[in-house]
Amino acid sequence: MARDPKTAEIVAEMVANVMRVVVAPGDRLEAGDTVVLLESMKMEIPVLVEAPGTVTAVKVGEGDVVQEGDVLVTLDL
Amino acid sequence: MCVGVNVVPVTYDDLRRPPLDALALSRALTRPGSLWRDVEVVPEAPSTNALVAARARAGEAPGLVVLAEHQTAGRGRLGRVWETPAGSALTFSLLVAPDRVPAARWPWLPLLTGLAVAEGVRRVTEVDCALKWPNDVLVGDRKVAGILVERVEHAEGAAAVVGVGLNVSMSAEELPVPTATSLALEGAATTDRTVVVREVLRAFEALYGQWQAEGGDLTRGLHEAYVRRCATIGRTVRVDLPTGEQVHGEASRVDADGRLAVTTDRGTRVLGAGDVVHVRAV
Repeated sequence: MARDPKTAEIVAEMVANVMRVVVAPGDRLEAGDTVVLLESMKMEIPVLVEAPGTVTAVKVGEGDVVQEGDVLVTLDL
Repeated sequence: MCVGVNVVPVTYDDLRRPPLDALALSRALTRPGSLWRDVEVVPEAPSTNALVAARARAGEAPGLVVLAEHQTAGRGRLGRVWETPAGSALTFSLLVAPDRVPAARWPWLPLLTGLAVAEGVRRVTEVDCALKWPNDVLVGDRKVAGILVERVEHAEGAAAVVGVGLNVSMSAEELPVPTATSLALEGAATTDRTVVVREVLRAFEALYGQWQAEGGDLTRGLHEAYVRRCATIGRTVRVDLPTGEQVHGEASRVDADGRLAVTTDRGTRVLGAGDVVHVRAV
């Protein structure tokens, strides 16, 4: 029986607005790829993945306000 | 661009616009123990932020300052682009790594930068400038400086690229938009960019050092210093949110996270992003 692939959740590190969502479900990502661009107080914060994986869900949309710890994107590693 | 009969090329012979003195800046700012390690002046760059961000990703250590005599494609928020006549503005970017401040508190960095620009400019030019939340530097209701901060991730961790554009000697005709101004137009005591940027970088170093020492906790002075310089608080404002929504009300305070609280007829909204318009009382 195949083991479930490992999954990862990419979370916001701070309260911010979602400026741009760069990925969609199914996208294959390399370490260092940007998934979401956040903005807080005129600071642009690209959120990157630390390991390669495939996007399983995008939990936010452009214009959303996210809180520290909110899940932005989930991945299968 | 408007072409008149007197087309005068702007050169370093232009006495109103002396070149930046890289050596003097290095001597004044890169002393042992100081925040600044390397001050570089480039003749021209599309965007100093892009230049410094690329160097950060390639492993450049923090403490770098890059100034462009002529920035040809400066980038503002949301990809807005502007160009300034050569030698008429201060366009520079800083590379810092606030390693003692948790990520959740990094959004104070743009506010701290606005405060540093306002304080440095006031000290040497005697121009009475203030901040429009979060960090536009205003003289009266006209914008004299804009700031864009970008977080950059690299192999060893995260850094911040802090970009500043400050209008120094532009004439009214050279302003990018009618709502802007320059230090010269506001009667500055000096329009020597070397003198102005030296003081801004000193002010930044002091405020940033305090912020790092407090671990990003602003309860000990920085918040109060920001509020004192922030012209938005108490004003009637319209805030254009990234969603396209508009919030109308009175800007009542800036909270511990640097967000703006706006009292509307339907309660208080706390905002972390958006373009503020100071509405004149009718």
